[in-house]
Amino acid sequence: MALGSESDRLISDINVTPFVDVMLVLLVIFMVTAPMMMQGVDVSLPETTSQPLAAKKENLVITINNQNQLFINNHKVAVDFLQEKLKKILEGRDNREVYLRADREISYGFVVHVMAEIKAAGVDKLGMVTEPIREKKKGQ
Amino acid sequence: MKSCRTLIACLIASVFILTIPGVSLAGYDYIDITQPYLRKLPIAVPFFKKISAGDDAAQLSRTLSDLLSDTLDFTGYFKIMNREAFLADPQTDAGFANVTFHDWTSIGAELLVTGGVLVKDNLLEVELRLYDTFKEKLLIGKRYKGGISDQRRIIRRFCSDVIYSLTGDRGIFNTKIAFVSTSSGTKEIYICEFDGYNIRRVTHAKTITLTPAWSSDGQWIAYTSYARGKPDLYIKHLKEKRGTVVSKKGLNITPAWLPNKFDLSATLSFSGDPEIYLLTGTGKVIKRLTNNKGIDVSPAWSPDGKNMAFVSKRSGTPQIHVKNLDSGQVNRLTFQGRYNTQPSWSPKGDKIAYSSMEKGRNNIFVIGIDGQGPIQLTHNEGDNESPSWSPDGNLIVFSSTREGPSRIYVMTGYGTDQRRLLTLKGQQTQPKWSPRMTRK
Repeated sequence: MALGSESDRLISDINVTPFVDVMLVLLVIFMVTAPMMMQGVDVSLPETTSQPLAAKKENLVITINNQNQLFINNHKVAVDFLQEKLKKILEGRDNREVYLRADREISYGFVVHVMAEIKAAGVDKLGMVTEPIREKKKGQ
Repeated sequence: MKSCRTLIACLIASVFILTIPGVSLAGYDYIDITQPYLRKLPIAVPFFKKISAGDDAAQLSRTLSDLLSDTLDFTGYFKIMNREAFLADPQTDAGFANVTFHDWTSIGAELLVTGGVLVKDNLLEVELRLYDTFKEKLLIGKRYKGGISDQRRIIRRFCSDVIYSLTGDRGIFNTKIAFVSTSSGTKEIYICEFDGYNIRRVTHAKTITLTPAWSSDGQWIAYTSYARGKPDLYIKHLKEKRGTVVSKKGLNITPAWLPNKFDLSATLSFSGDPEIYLLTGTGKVIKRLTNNKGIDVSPAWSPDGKNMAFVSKRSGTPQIHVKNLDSGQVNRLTFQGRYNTQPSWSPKGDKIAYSSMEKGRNNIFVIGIDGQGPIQLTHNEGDNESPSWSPDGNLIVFSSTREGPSRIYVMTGYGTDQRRLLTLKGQQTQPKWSPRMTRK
């Protein structure tokens, strides 16, 4: 029972609504390097030093090859249908993590466009897949 | 009869030895059917691959895969995945024989059914495979041959194998449900398959017909009919024109067959007071089972046939009681509620479902044989009555007025996944799930 004047009571809880808002807008982007034997659509990836990608069976990989063609795993999709397809895939999945492999020749603008589509589909963690730096190349 | 034999002759399931021997003995660790809140397994059922050209195969590859996913969905064990999320084209080899498991694991599918359909001269050949996508293993691979009209039998048989390999139980795909419907204007008994298909009218008495009860071999049905102007007990063979009528003075109602015997119990009132008697399948009274001044009615047998649940008014209000046939002892089971009737003993023997009236509304409850519970399964949705367990103990069929007229619904034994079984003219009541039909 409240002490009579219920309408004047102060709200002492933290209002979480803005926090939830912020969380929904955020897309966590992280970088991973592809393991040596990663199969799939053939692309030449940029080289960086970062954590190797754990080869898990449920990994969902989106690939952009050097002809600006999009693939989910090995399944070719048009950019316009990527968001719709991803949404349906995410319905059946436990996590909302996706890996992106873009060919190093692809324009930055196109990659960002695809990333926006991925985010709009509800993905909250995006792994940028790269290749480990090859020592030999460096020496040349 | 003849058509039945040819059907069976056609449907020779030549089991393909696709599995490595021993793999199928891997145990039933997929679905633990004793868990009340089991996680539904995500299963992908893409359209089947059409192996032969032509519209027939194209059409069947779609309808058969739909039928398969509907049939599996009925059990309540699975989450059927949205086909639009699939990454593999079912018409390529990757959609059938050479499955790329990563295509399925990455969309969250834990099980996968692929199929191939071949139609030739009105003959249907279907190959079906069940895969565990994460273990990358073929669990079942079978090929079925039959006529186009055998498609439901083929799919049901494969589903039965699927359920068997995942749970260790044969499932309910070979069962039927009897119920009372007023579609023709009067209450008559109808029978349909477990999923509401193939509705068939059984009685044509043009009067009130009530309380169907299946014999344990599924060949006989007992019911009460007013065909002679008063409630008499009819015992009828479902395929042959055989049967008897028990027409003693007074009531002859609420039959219930004993498990694995050609005997049944029913309530007769020729002595002046409604009591439960044991009868032979030919309608002769063997002995009296209850002996009490109050009304004793609605027997239901435990799976071992040693105990009988029934409704008795001996303590003032209708309550479920259990009688042990060996000791003759009667124990009251229900104490909650003032009007508990229609007991149905679960096939595993540990629970009894019944309907209970409170505040003028009937709802279905389940109580343990030890009196544990009771648990209410239906809530605030019209009158819910006449529960009857499926023979695998997973589902309960019941009647409900939640949509206005009384209709037949199915739910799991824990009250989840409530859905309507069929739509028919008039009102449908008193469903009874058959035992598993012995294949003949």
